[in-house]
Amino acid sequence: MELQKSKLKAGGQGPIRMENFFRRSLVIIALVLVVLVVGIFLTLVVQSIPSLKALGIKYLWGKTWDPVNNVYGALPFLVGTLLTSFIALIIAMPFSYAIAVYLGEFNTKGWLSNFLKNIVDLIAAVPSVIYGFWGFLVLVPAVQGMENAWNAKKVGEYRTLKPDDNSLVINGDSLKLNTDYIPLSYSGSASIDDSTVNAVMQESSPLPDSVKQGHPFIYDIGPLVAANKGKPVANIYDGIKQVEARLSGKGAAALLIINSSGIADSLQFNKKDTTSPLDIAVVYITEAARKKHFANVSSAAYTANIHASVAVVDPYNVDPYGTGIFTSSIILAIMIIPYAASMGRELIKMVPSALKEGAYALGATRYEVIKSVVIPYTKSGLAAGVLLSLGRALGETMAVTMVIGNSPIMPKGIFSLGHTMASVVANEFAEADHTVYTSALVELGLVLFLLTVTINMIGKGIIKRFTNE
Amino acid sequence: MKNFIGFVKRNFVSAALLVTAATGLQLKASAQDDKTVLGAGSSFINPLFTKMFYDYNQKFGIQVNYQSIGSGGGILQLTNKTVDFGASDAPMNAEQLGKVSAPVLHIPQASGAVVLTYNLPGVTTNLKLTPDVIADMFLGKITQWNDSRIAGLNKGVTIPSVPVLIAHRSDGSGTSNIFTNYLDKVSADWHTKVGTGSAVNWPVGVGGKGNEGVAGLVKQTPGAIGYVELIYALNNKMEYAQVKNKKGKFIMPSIASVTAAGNVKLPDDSKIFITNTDASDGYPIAGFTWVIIYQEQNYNSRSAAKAQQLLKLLWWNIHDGQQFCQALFYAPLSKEAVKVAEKILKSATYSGKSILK
Repeated sequence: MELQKSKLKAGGQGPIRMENFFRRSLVIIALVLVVLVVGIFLTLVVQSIPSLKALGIKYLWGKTWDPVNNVYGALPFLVGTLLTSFIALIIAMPFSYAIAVYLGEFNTKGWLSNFLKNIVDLIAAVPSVIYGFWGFLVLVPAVQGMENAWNAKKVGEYRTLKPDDNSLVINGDSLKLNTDYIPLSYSGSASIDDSTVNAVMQESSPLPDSVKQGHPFIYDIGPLVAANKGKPVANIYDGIKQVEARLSGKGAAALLIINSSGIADSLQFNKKDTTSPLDIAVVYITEAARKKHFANVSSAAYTANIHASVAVVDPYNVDPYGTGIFTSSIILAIMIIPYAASMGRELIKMVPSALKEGAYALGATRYEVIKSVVIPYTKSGLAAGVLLSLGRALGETMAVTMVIGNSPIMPKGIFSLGHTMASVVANEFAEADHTVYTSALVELGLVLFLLTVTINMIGKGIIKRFTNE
Repeated sequence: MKNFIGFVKRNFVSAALLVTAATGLQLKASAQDDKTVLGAGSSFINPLFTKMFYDYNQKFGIQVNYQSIGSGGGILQLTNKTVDFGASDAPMNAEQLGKVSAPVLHIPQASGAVVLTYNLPGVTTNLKLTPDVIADMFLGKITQWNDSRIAGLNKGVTIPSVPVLIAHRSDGSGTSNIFTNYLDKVSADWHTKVGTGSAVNWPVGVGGKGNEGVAGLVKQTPGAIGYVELIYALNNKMEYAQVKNKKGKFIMPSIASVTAAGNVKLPDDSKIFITNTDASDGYPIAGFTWVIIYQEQNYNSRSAAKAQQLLKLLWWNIHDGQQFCQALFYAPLSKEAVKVAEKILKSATYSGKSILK
């Protein structure tokens, strides 16, 4: 600019000079924008280099985000971002289009139309932190209530065993789930590899001095069953729990329950169990399997080679936090409604009346006119509106951070807690205290940048194709 | 296109300048004015510093500008030499120390504590918790409040049978650092699975931004347990738990028990987490906030008067300044901590000569 001014003073004063100066100024100002975008992109790339070097491409599909051990994987955040944005889009689209058609076609003038239009525009103008507050104070408790109601109603089942996740192999012989062995409903989850039985337990027998890490124990509830004959199963549970408590924390991995008394113990998998899962796996060996594999269990010298995997899960439970992917999707949906709505309204208003009147003249009803004239005529514009909405949803930070739960664990469903790329950066950047950490966060920004650019380009392509047709 | 290239060529210099500006230009500034001291860092200590520095200004006419930007930011600014002192809730780590050009000193200023706050309908007493129960809750192993281990510690308290829902900080923070440092010390499982840091890979739970975020989540969710700064809990009259310390006593978090936690033998550089303290009446989840300065104060052509001013301020902080702690719910330094801090301040030099006599 300084250069331009001095030239202007030193050189000829003609109007052509002025013209040139004006034109150049305009281009420079326009170019500033280009330079800024390029600059931002370069910054992201340069600052991401330490992370790119340390983590490579697996950064993109890594599932662990662990600043302590310098392991960074962006996948949970990528999934969180895409899930919240697209669910928001699905929720928002019917509203956007309905508003657009109503204000653009049915009610284009008058106080109600103006009022609605202003309200829709206001939704876009409200700062996102205010949506965050509202979401946190109103929406979160509401969703929490919903989740609690769901947990209370759920089909009466609190525990389940997935056949694929449970296995037990004794001395090379694979046992059958439910017929040979039953992990009990209060069992903890565990996986045991290449272990020999550590010791045989009685309820009161002394613990061995050293318990080998990860080894299973056998516990014969025979005497207990005999003593509690005719009493409820709860007494047996208490006995098992006592033994488990003595073992857990000592390094034991599992308790194999056998019943040598010959008296029926009625132990079974209780789907309605609501007690806390125990610390180690508790597996009941049925009478048939006991006879086959543990018939001569009598002393601590007994050994058997055991591989096992036990997983007891709660099939329907949703932790009633109220925050999560679903809640943030609703907030995002509300925030993005005006984008597609305003754009759609303007476009629908611009549909030439000659076209519409032509259709009416042919006997079309209002609905038919909208369906076959207005929507086809404006579809590229409507798509552009959706794209604009999506852009906003992908990058939204503040409101989402307040309601998404900020958990780095891969979301399991739409009621899971989650995290988006933007919210991770906002949360962690200020206190990121080592180079790779900071760089991994910048790389998250880079991924978000590229994602937004890609989605925009795809969208522009679609619009272009529609308009050319 | 040709026009465009020609244009870019003609305006190359200005374009290059713009790119530089857009990619970030580091500005170095240092207040050379002897009447002003610049500091930046920990937001935890900010209310105390505000009060301290206001009083100091009234008495000595020295203006202290403290920017509450977070511990990491404070360390970064000190590393870039744009401030006279940084303040941090954790000692500088190896990587941060590698980046500073000269040795630094850590001077403890006050201590704070992290308390466990919970939302259990019907429970009005302060729950008792042990280190292993806390660790197992935050590891996701204890999932129900009516777990026998919790009930066993709180005989006579009717604990509702609701699931344990964990709330933790989502933003990197000194509070998380102290809390995870504590868990790391008391639980081998936590040490191998999670570790310690201002942000960690939480095995379970929901993240809230700031103390207010965690507090909000806990208030709204029956069965939730989270951790916040003691000051925050006291100011907002929240429920919090007593924690069993290393000596086996259940300690109620309070200003006195936090000060007591720091009343142990400290290393000469004071760089220690006082979590899981040996002090028998000390609350075990506590930590210092430090001011960090360069040991050699003659850098960036700073004047001797300026260095003198800074050291005088810090000396005042750990003595007269401590009187403001109590009212703002900060725990003043223990006698032991003041002694160590004095020694550290005396080791600061200007051109190799010690500044304080």
